[in-house]
Amino acid sequence: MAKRMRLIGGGTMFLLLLYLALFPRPLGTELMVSVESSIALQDAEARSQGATLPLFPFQLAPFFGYIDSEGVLTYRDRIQGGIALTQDGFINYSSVSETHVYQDGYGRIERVIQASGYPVLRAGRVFVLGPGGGRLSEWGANGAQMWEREFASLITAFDATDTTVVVGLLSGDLLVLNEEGQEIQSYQARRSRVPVVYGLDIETNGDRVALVFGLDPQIVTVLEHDGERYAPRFERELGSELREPVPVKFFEASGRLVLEQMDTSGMSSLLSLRYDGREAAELSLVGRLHSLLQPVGSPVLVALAEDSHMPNGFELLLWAGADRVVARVPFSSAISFLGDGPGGSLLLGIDTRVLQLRLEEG
Amino acid sequence: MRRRYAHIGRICFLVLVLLSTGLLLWSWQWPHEEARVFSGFGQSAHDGYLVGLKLVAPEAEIQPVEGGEVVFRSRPSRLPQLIPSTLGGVLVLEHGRSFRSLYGHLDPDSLDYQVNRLELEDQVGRVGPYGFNSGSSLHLEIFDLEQDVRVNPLLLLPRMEKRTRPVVQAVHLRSVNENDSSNTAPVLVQGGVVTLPAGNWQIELSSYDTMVAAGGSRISPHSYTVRVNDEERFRIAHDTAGVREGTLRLSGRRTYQEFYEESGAVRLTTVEVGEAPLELVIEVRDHVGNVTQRSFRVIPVATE
Repeated sequence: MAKRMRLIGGGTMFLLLLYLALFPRPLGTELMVSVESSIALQDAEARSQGATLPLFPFQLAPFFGYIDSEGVLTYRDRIQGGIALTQDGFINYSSVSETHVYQDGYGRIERVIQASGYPVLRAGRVFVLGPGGGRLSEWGANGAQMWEREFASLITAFDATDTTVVVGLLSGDLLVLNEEGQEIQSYQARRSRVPVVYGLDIETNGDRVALVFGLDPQIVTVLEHDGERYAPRFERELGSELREPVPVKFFEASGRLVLEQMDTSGMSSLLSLRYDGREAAELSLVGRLHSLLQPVGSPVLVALAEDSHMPNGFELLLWAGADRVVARVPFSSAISFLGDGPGGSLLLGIDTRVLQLRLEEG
Repeated sequence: MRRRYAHIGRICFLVLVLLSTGLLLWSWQWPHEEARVFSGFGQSAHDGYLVGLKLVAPEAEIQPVEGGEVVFRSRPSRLPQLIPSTLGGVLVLEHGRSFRSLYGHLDPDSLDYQVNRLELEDQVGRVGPYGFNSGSSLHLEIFDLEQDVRVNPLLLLPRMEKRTRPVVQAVHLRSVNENDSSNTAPVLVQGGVVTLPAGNWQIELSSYDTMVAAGGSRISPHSYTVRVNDEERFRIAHDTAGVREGTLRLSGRRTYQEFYEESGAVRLTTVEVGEAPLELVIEVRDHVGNVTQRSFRVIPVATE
């Protein structure tokens, strides 16, 4: 009897050891997506009193607004011709406006800018793109112009940190400007048969600039700042021929550079690169990329793509820092917005509702 | 003998260049048969030069000025990394020979996002009130990549039939002497003779051109020339616009602030009035070659 018990015990131990040998790590955590709140914009009333900071912007045509850190709607208004919207404030402008009013997240007027064109808000700075698309100016806190600069061809891409501005042009040139708008470096991205800058992004600390340029071939390059100027760290030919602005973005928390590419058959994908240029992943999309972000404090990157096979269809793609696809969630409703929400949540604008989604691994 | 062959070779080369230039110009077309020029190259627009043409073509499907490869088109997007398009729907074609043409204020939904090449008979898109555009006009720009300048499309497009001359509305002379701190009003030149105190005087000109196809819209003439005592002293043309040190310059020289008065008049050049009379001739030329001339005699007067 004792021998039989020992045999069973030994067998169980052997099976357990075998299991541990075959599956040395847990099967993995699962990502749980839960709806934390839902705001119907048509009927909702904004309540700015007692709002808890920070505020989180959302955009759901014809409305835009803010919710506070408890998910309460604090501001809502109609978009005029266009909207420049950040966590700090917004400019709601008409399509031919010559006056831009910068307001904070409660709708309080902070400054009035007299400038023709469309405003762009980056790194707490206010820029205005001129009506012809070839002029850029910056406007200070008092509403006065700080600098203005003309470019030899159309501005096709633009980004800024608190000290640096990078401008990509139709001619294939990248210009780096300092705080006063003076050119401190130019980089000719003209190695391809057709030189055009299609997309760029600068890291928050200004250490790296990513650039997508050219046709035949289309190339992505990362320029690194060596203390004096930006120099190419790597250059990689893409199997892509996008002739439109290309979304490209550094995800500093994950150490990834992500960009959209499209093959010759028209299939879109996301290419995720390490900072040294090695490919981390290539994820196919159901259609063109709509939005791309990484919720604060989350290892998960989130992309929203239009479903080319379904009118008004979208797919929400979640993938982890290790570039493992965690989930693909199809939606059959019109999604017009994806943004950061309170506490690392996501804000998703579906039809006329703003949903607050919580992503948790467990 | 060798020199003679070299001479013949030079002539052949020049003929070839002229023929190829002729072929280049011949193949260009207007983006729409009934398009009317609303604003011309180098004209004042939102505190800066207009670096293309504004063509009125409401809701019209437009065609490329020449066949070419699509190298850029805007796409409506809410991605925060992308910038808003002040030109609405935009399409850019590369035509080879370093030229590119840009079509702005198009309906983004009318652009074909699959096509990579357009021929003369193809459609670029439909014009509409998209972007920073109060009406429904097409914004047309031509880039010369080699020279890194925008070129006046009227110099490349087929010539419009035109018999009218540019109109000179007024010529003013403004004192620009360093020691003259008083803000003296400019002197309007009305007759053939003007008397002025000695010193430096800036010539300011109010003029415009109308084209048969422009439907009466006032557009900028092509060039201005000033001759003093039969000697060409100044010439500027609305031919190219390039950027130097972050500032757009007409014909590679004049910034917008240097060229335009607030009234819309253009500042030409400064003449020095000394002891002898001056014969001044101002010529305004349109894009076809019609010329309007104003001549007058400046007689110096003694000042106390």
